[in-house]
Amino acid sequence: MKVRRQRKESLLAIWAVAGLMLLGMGVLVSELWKLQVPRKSGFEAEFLQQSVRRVRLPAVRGKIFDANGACLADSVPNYCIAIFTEELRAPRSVVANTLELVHEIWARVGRPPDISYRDIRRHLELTPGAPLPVYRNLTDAELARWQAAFGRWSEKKKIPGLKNHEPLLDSNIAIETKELQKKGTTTAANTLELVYEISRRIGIPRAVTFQNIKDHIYARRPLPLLAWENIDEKTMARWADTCSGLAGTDIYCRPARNYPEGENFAHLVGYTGQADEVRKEGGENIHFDLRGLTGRKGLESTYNRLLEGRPGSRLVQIDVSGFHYRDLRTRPPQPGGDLWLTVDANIQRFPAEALAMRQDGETPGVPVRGAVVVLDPNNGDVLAMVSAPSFDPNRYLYSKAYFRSVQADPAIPAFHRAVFGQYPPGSTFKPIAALGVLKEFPGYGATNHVCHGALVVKKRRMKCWAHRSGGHGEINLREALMHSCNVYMFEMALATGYAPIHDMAQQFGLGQYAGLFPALEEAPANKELKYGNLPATAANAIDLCNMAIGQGAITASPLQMAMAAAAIANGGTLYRPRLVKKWRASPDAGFRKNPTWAIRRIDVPIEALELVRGGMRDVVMDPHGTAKKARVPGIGIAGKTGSAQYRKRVDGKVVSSVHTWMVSYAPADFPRYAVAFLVEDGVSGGKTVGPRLSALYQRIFEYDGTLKKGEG
Amino acid sequence: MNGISLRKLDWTMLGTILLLVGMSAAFIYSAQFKSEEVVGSNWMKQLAFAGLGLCAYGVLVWYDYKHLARLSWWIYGGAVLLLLLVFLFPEVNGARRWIPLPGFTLQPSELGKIAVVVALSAYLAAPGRDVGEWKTFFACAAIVGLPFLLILVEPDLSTSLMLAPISLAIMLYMGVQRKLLLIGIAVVLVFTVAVCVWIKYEKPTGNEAAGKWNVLPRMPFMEEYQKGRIKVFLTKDHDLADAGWNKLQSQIAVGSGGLRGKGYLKGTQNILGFLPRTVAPTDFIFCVIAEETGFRGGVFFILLYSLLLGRCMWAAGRARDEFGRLVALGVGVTLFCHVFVNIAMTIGILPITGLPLPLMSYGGSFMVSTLIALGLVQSIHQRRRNR
Repeated sequence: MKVRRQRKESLLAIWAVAGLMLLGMGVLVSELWKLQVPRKSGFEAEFLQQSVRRVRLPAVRGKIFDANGACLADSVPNYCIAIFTEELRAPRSVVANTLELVHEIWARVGRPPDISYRDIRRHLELTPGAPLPVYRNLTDAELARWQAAFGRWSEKKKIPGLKNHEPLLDSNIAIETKELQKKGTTTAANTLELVYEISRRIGIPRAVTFQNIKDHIYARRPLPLLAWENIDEKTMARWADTCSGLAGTDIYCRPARNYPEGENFAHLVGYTGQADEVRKEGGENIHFDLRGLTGRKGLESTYNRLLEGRPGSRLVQIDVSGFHYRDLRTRPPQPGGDLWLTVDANIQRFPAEALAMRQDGETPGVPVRGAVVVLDPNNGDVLAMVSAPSFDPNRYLYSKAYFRSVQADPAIPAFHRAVFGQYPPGSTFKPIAALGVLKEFPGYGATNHVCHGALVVKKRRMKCWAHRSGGHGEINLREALMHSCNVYMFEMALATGYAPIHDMAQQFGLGQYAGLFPALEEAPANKELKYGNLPATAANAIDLCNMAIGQGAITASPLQMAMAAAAIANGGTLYRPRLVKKWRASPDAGFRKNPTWAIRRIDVPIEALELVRGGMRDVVMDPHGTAKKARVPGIGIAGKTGSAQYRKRVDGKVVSSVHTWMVSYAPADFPRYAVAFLVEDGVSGGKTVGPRLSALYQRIFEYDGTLKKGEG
Repeated sequence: MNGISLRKLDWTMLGTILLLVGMSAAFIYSAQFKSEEVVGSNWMKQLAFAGLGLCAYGVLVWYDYKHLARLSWWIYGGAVLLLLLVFLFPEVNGARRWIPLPGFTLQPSELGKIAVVVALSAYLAAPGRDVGEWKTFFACAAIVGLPFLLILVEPDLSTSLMLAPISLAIMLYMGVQRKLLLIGIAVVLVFTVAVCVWIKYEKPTGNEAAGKWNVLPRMPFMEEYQKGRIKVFLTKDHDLADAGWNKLQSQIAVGSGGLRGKGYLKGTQNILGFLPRTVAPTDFIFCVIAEETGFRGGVFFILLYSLLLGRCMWAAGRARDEFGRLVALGVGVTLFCHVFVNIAMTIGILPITGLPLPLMSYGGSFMVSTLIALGLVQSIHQRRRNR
C-alpha cells in the first residue's frame, strides 16, 4: 500500500495546477489585447468594409439664364414612387407568393396570363383551397415552350404550387394556392405585391416588371426601387390619398432638367442625359451611384463642370443580407453654378419665326433649313442664334422614340447650323474681297470695269447673274457691290491676285476659330482649330475668280459671317462672339463677368471702309440694289445678298442648288445689330432671305422701341 | 451533516456566480437584440434555468458531499443510462445529443462530465486504493472510457475530448501511472500535430482549392465539418464559406470592439446579423461581450472567471478529504477547459468547437450542470479544514 501523499506535496500540486490555469488566462488576455487594442489589427477596417457602403449623391444642376434673367435651363424635381425593399422582408403573404409564381410562369410561357390581379385576390379570399387557373387554352407552340421551360425549371427541385409531373390541366395551367399559403415569401415577391397594390389603388399601370425587381434586389439592394418615375400632380395626390399608409413606399425626388424655351434654344443651350456611373472618386470607392445628369451638347456640355456642382456622398450601413439598415453620415452635395447669357430670349424668337415664313416659289410642307445669327457689333455679344429645323430638348431626354425620330430626320434637326455649318458665302464675301483689294490698291475704288454678263477666263465662260440681260455695263467698285456683279469681281481678282483677298479674309476671321465657348476662367486664346475653310492660295485663274465671289473652296459658318458683318459695322474691330455675360460658381456666390474680347483691329484704311459700307447700304436702300425686299420703313439698313451655288446628291443624282444668304447691319449710321441670315436651298439672296430679314428687323426694332408697334 | 454556518460559505464564489449569471442575462438580451421592437425572451429563460441551478446549488451546500462518494456508482450509472437513452430519440441536425422533456431539452453529456468527475474521484479516493497498480489504471480508463465512447458516437467530439484533460488531471494528481500518462500525453500531442498536418495537406474534394502540397489521402476519422474547422484554424485564409465565416465574423466583432467597446446594445456586428444569430447567444457570447465592452470588459470577465477558478482551487487546497480535493480539482479543471477553449475560439487561437461558455452561454442544461458542479465545490469549501 502506497503511503498517502504528504499534505505539502498535494498543496504544491494544487498550486501547480492553479498556476497553469493562470498562465492560460494570461494567454487569453494577451491574445485579446493583440486583437482589440492596436490600431493596426485591421479588424475595424474589415468591419467597415463589410457593412458600410458609399452612395454618391448628385448635386442639383445650375441654371442658365438669358440676358433678362429668364430661365433657359432649370432644375426641376422629378417625383417618383419609391419602394424600400428593406421594409418588405418579413411578412408571409400568399398573395405575394401567388403573384411571384404567376410571373415566373409568365416568363416561361411568353404571353400575359388570362387572369387579373383582382381575380387572384378574389380567388384567395373566397376559395383558397381550390386550384387557380392562370392560363387557358394554350396554343401548341406555347404548350411546347412551357413544357420545355418547366422541365428545366423543376429539374432539381419541386416548385411549390405546381405539381411536378402534371403541370397542365387540359392545356390550361393552374396553381395550387393551398401550397402557397405555407411557403415563406421572398422580398422580391413582397415587393411585387406592393407594386400591384399601389397600381390598383392609384389606378396607374405597372411600370416595373418582376425581372426589374429581381435585378434591383440583386444589384442595388440598399437603394430605393423607383417603381414609377416622373409622376404628375394628379398621381401624386392620389398616392397621398390612398397609399401613404402603406409600409415600404414613399415619394422620392430626383433632379431633372426642364427647358422652358424648348425648341428655340435647343442648339444653343443643349440638353442633358444621364451621367455615366462613377466607380471611384477622390480616392474612395463608390458602391452605388445615384446617377445625375451630364450635359451632352451646347452650353450644358461645354460648361458641364460648372453646372453639375459637386456630388455628395452618404455612408449607408447594411446588414448581413445587404439590405439598408440605416444612414451613417451624409455629406451634402454642392449645387452647380449658374450662367447668365447675352442672348435675349425675346429676340431669339424672331429669327425662328422669320425662317418659318413662306415665300413664293418655296415648296409648302417642307421645313425650312437655315440659320440666323444676331450680334451686337459694338462688343460682339450674341443676341440671338437660331438653327432650323430644331427639336424639343425636353422630349429628347425622356422619349426614346422621339430621339430616334430626330436622329432619322434627313433635315438633321440636331445639327447646330449656325456654328458648325459650313457654307460657301457666295456674294456676301464680296465686301471682304473689296476691302482686301482697297487696302493694297487704295485707288481701286475709282477703277471701272465693263460687265457684259460673262467673262471668259481660260476658255471657261464665267457668268454674272445678269448674263441674260447683257450685263451691268460699266461700273465702279461701289456699284459692283450694289449690283452684286460677278464680272467686276473677276476682273478685279485677276488684276490683283489672290493674296490681298486672302489676307483680308484672314483678318476677318474666316477659316479660324471663332471662340464661342471659351473656358470661363482663362483669357480666350486663339486655338489652332479651323472653322470653315480659307485656302491659302488659288490653284488657277478660274479658282481665283470663283473665290473672289465667295464660291470655290471657301466656306464659312453663319457665325463667322455675322462676325465679319459686325466688324464692318463697327468700323473695323473683329470681336469674339460673347455668349456668357456673367457666371457664378454657386447660387450664393456673386456673379463674375465674362469679359468682352476683341480679336483684332482690322488693318484697313477708313476710306476703304466707307466705300464698302456705302455699297452695302446701296444694296438695300438703293432702287438698283439686290436686297430691296429687306427694307424696313424708317430704318436705314445696310447689307449684302449672296446666292452660293453648290452641288448635292439627291436620290443618287447630282443636283445643283443654292444656299441663299444675307449679311447686314442696322441702323446703317449707328449700327446696333449685325445679322447673318442663311436659308438652304433657296431661290436667291434677295428673294428668299430679303423678306425674312425685313420681318426680322421689323420685330427687333419694335422690341427695342425704335419703331412703334405696327409702324412701318 | 449539518452544522453549516453561513460564515463558512464562500461568499466570493457565490457573488462571482451571481454577477456572471446576471451579466449572462444582459448579454443574451443584447445578442438577440435587433431593434427596439424585436427581442427574444431567451434571457428570461436563462434566468429561469439559473434559478433552477441555484436551487440545486443551495441543496448541495446543505447536503454533505461525502455522501456522494457512496452514491457515486448510482450517479455514474444514471448518467450512463441517460447517455444510452439519448440514442432512442430522433436526430437533431444530424446528432443525437438531447433528450426532449416537457419545457426544455436535457443534454446528458453535461451530466456525464460531472458523473465522471465524481465517480473517478470516489474510486481513486477510496480508502485502501493502491494508485500504483495497473488494476487501478485500467479501472480509471474504464470509468472514463465508457462515457467517452458514448458521447463520441452521438457525435459530439468536443465534449468527449473534454473528458481527457479532466480525467488526466485527476489521475496525474493521484499518481496513477504518472510516467505512462506523461508519455501518453506527449504521444497524443504528436498525434494531434500529425492529424493537423494530414488535414492541411490532404487531397481536396471537388470544390476545394488545393495547393500543390495537397497530396495525402483523405483522413477517414473525422466529419467534413470538423475537418473544415481545423482547416480554417490552420490557415489565415478567410475565403472558406461556412467554417471561415464564423471565425472571421467573430474576430471582426472582437477586434472592432477596441479598448472601450461599442456600448451595450450597440454591437453592430451582432445587430446587423454578421455574427449569425444562432450562435451569438450560445457559443459566441463572448464575442458579443468583447464587441460591446471592448478590451476592458473582456479582461474583466476573464478576471471573474479566474476568480471563480481560484476559489475552486482554494477549496481543493483546503478540502478535508481526498475525495473532496479530487472533486474540486476536477470541477476546476472542467471549468478552466471550457472557459479557455471557448474564449480562445472566439478570438481565433483555437479551432471552432461547440463548447459553450460556463454560466454565460445560453443553454439550460449546461447552466444547471455548471451550477451543480459549483455547488459541489461550495459544499467542499463549507466543510473545509480549519487551517
